[in-house]
Amino acid sequence: MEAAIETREAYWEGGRGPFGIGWSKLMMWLFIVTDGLVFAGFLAIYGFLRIASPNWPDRSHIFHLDFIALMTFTLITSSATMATAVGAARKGDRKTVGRFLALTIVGGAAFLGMQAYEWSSLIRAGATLEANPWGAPLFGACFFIITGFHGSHVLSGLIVLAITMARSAAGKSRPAGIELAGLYWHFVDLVWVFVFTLFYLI
Amino acid sequence: MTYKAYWGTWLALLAVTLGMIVAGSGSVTGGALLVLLLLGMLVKIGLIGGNFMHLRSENRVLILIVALGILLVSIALFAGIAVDAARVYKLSQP
Repeated sequence: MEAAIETREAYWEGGRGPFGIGWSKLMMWLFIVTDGLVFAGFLAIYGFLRIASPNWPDRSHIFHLDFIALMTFTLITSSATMATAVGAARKGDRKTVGRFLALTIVGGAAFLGMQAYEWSSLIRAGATLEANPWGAPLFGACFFIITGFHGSHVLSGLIVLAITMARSAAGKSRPAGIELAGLYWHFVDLVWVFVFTLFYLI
Repeated sequence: MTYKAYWGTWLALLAVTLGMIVAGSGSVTGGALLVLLLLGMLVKIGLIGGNFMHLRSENRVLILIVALGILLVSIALFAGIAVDAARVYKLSQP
């Protein structure tokens, strides 16, 4: 009985590996859960406004689905290159890590560029946070806040990836550090799954 | 996981995304579209979380924390909000 209690206390009071993973990875997972809930809150507000507004704009009049599909393709591809970099880091292949981290950064930057283009097109068409020419005024607020929040995650991910790449090239980065950067990048891709479906497809 | 598995996941993600785009661009409508898109989203979440984030090989308690933390709370949020939003919509109708 005492041994069982000791084991349980050791499990919950920390040590080197709660849930069988390191502390830094656990903290990253907890960050991902909390950040995911922030996005869930934003998207729930968007859902409420959209269902409750009789004159919500028709997405086919606003977005070019081909262009959004290209953005999605770019982000999914950058997630695959990131996963490859993490796999290479686990094998100790620094050259492949550097190459695929660079490709991931290119993908992320291309995504951000396309998002900036999409934003500027909508702003030129008259969309602001308070008004737009297509229907319910809150459409603009929902769109710019949610895609902007996601875009800011992409931007901070790019900064993290650039630092990780520089550290990896200098031989200072451990595989665990590259894996943490990867977890964050995949999370950004995961959030886009929701934004893409709820904004552009429904 | 091998490099091949990562790129296989990438291909599967692209295929599901393409299917969702085709469904969303007018070939499917109404409730069927919603069900298809929700299923597509779940498959993509599973692929990214399970294969790219390696959640599949993590401790079961951690998987539960992530899944319950994000998915169930989100579902509860949307379910509660949808009912209220539909009421507001009805009230706004003449």
